[in-house]
Amino acid sequence: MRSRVLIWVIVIVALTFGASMTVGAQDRPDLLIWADNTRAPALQPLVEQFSADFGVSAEVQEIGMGDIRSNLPVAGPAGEGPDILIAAHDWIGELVLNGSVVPLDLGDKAAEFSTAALNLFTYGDALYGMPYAVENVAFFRNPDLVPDAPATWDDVKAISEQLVADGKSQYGFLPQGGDPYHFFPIMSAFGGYVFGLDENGNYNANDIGIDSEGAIASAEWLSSMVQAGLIPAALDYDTMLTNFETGAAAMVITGPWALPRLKENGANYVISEIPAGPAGPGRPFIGGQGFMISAFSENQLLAEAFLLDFMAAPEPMQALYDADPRPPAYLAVRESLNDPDLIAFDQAGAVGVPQPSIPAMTSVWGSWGSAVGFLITQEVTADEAFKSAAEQIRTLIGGGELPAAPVTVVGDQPPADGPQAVSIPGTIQSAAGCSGDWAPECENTQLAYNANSDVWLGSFTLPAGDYEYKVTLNNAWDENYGGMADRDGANVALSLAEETVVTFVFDYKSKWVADSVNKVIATVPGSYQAAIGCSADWSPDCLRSWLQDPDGDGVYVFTTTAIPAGDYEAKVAVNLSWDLNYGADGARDGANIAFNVPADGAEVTFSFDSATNTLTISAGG
Amino acid sequence: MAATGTRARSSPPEDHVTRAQGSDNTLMLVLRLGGVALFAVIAFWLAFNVFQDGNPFLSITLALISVGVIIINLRHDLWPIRWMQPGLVLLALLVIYPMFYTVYIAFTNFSDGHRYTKEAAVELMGQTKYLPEGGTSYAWNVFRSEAGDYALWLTAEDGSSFFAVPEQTLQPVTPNESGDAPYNDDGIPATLNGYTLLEGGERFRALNDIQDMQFGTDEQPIGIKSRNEAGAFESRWVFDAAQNAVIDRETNTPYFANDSTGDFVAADGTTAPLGYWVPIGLQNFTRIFTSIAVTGPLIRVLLWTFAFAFFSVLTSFALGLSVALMLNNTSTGARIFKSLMIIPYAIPGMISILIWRGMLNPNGGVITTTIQNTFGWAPPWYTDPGWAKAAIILVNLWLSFPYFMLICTGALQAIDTSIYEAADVDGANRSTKFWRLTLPLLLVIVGPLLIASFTYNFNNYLLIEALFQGGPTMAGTAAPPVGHTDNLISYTFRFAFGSGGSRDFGFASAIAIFIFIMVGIMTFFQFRLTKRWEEVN
Repeated sequence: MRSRVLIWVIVIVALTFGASMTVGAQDRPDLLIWADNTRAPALQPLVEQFSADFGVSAEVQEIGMGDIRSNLPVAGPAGEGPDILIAAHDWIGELVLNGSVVPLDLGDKAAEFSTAALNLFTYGDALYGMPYAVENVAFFRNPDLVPDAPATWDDVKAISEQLVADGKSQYGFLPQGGDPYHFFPIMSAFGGYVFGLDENGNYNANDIGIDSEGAIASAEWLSSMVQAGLIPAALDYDTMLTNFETGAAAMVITGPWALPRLKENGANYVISEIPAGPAGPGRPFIGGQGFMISAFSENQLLAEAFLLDFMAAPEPMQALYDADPRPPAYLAVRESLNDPDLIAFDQAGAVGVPQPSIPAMTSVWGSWGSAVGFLITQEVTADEAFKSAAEQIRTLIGGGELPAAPVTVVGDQPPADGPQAVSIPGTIQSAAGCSGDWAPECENTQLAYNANSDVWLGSFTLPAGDYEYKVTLNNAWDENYGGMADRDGANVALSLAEETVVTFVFDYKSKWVADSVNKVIATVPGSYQAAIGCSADWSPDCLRSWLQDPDGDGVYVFTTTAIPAGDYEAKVAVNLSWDLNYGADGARDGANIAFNVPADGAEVTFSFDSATNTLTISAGG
Repeated sequence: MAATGTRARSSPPEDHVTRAQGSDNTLMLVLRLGGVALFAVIAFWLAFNVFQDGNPFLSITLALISVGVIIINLRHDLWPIRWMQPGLVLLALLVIYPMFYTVYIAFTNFSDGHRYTKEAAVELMGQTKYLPEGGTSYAWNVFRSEAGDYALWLTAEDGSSFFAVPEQTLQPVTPNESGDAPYNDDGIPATLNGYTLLEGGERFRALNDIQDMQFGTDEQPIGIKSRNEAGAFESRWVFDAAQNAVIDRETNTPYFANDSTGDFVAADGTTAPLGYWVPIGLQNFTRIFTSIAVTGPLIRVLLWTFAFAFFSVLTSFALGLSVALMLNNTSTGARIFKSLMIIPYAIPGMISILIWRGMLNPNGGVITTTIQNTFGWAPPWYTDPGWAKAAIILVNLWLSFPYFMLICTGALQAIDTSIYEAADVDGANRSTKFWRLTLPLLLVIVGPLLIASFTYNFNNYLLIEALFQGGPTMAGTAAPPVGHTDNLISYTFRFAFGSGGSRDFGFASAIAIFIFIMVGIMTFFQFRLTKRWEEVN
């Protein structure tokens, strides 16, 4: 009896193992995509179209956004994982740490995406994803209560006090409680930062700026708002927006995700740039979403081809945008963007910095958030809250062996054959929060390279006073210029009658530096601009058409040979916007000035006389 | 039993039991063996797949359970166990296996960055390709012959082009000349040497076939690296068993395996991109005692954990019992009232908690606003540690008093009413009767449930996390941030996963064992206590 049982057991086990071997391989589509509940419905029709057009089986699987990140290293090795995943850029650090994603070579397709978006998905020296959307927060105000956008955070406080004193609204500006992500734009305006940069311009996990002077100054600002009774306790996203919608609050900081709700509730709002602080404009974090390829995928080549040869085209990208409108990363869709709200977000994001994607960032949120929370509850002083948070973060980062993985940040990557850094040393520096004057290496007066315009740019808020400055390359005195594009030339004097946001522009090609007080920062927007490398025609902010005056005679000149033969129109715009512009005969808001370029390669000279505001255009043969 | 027993899959016919053992009729034997065989096929297929997915422990567990089930169903002397087997299987799979696995993980460094075995880590790193010095990278297009063989048209950056077929030397070709028209924009012909250029869907479908193929000869191999590049790419990271190291071939640096920390480390101290998991002995446990216990505010967290569990049970039992006593009659009103009282218990806890969170919100929450309007002052539930704790106990009272009301109602029925008559004779008043008779007798019945409830609340993560996320935050603690209302489980969760950088599963498992031991000790003493109550009976 017993032996019979044993034989049965052995036979059954043997048979089933045999059977298992043959059924082991499971049916799965050639291409499996993990997307969250907002992206999955948007991708579904595209993937179906791809399947139908090319005869490759492809499927979208809906997975919670957070689960995509944590399930990948579990499902991947088990063969259950996706080939492609929708991911947020700040997961890259963790995903790379676990070897879960592979670099993606966009090749010539890279030119079809915005540089800022590609920077977000670059980690170390490799690109890990194909971006499709970029996001940042911006400053919202109720135009009935606050007609003009406040320039600085001190203005925000003054306006808030006035509104409450006049009984026009219950609160002025409301923060999103102790949320650090929404506090960062304020913190950066005061010169605070999360991670400093290493010599390659990458985030450095060993340089924590939560207790930097600027960060504490911003904390003190928020703390003073609370002490003045302008900010109630226990705000969250919902209460903040409800207050804004009902007019109980006049100003908030929030992102594009709030737009559907604000519109539905009929909120009266205007979106503008983040107000500036002593250290320059308020810089929001820039975040991005995109596609990544799983390291566990067996069909990586097909996955790459799907992304590069199918998705990276205007129609699929447009379809994705239509189904889930977020500021797109794909240039063709971005240029046709006509939603004024998203354009305003884009402008607020122009000075943004990438949200760090290094793994150390996960150690920052909790402690940093508590510190901001303490400002609202006033349990400890601003100084103490931020210093102790920074200590906590240092302990956490020191405790876990986190690789100081590099990421590319701030502005665009300057060309290798030019300077890698440009700064404005001078007596303005102590006013801008530097520890001393005439220090080229101080972070607060660095200009950022703008690839679109091929110039270096920076704006700093300076108190009234008389200053001097120069411009230095590569953070050293070896190569420095005065105000006449003269190497080792004289200091430039700068006198401010009141607190002013001063913009500095430096062109490495002409070596000329200009500030927006002494000089007129003027461009020639026109129908020719795309031809000279601007992102679009009629762009007042494209400094490729910058009018320069190195000799200081008041006549600003811009010369180019890059305009193809044809008929064009142009105007002059001051301070990179249409607010102040001159047309024919020097008339403000005057008519466009027409000109003709007789042949390709002909030299065209635009000269602008700042005394009469007239623009003269001459095209030589 | 024969009449009511359900036919479990693979269980014998019911009347089998009543017959003498060993007198199987053939049909029943075949049915039974067929059932067992079917079960075995499914179970072993599952075990095999789990094994293939790289989870040998779960696979072995499944196989052992399956063998056990088969033996139980084949041996006549084990037939009584057949009725318990679903329970036993679930016990083994969902309780015993995870326990052993957790204990095992607690002794390893399984965490972000160390998630794979050494072999898997080396294999993953092997995916990174590099181009050895002097190699050329080509753009490629794929061709296929009638016979289904593939070939590549390669274009180097300098414009020179080649046609690559497996096991043949590269054949130089010229755009717009070699092969047969029509040529495409890049000058690549539609057909060449009997191969046809693949485009559209045909190209997409060919990709899986060609991604690991080698074109050209072994001396000049061409492999496809990505959609944009093909060439003599090689794996950048290669494991060298002789040195027990992975070699970065691009720089020729060996990264030596450190099998006690699970890292590949170079001479200059840098580590390879991936680590692997290894047993690390008691390190996770020593870390609990050197980091949390010593540096963290563990005592404060522990005190609050006990206080929360104790007051939760006390308040909800007191309220539940009071309501049960008040409604201890069978009138329609009492029955309707009792049904209504069950509602808080019937609504999913998560929803109730979020509703309470909204009602307590200092900005327009209905409770806070009402108190504010009535008294001109409202408790700062969100921001004051004391009030936050009070709010948590209040919400937990709402969530759990119906449970105690239900069991007390039942327990009250079980008390012999004759003892009250005896008490009346002795002249006892109502309060004496409650304190000296009802409560002691009730405690005997519900005592174990009180202990279970205490243990549950000791480990109550949902309420703490959903209501205030542990907030308000304590000032001036060491990392990670701790809230005044954090209990042991939410605090340790935060420590292991929350904001402590990468997720450390080994450490989290060690914490789980630590909590298990604490709860175990507590339960032991509580049962000793209930024994004393039982003596009252």
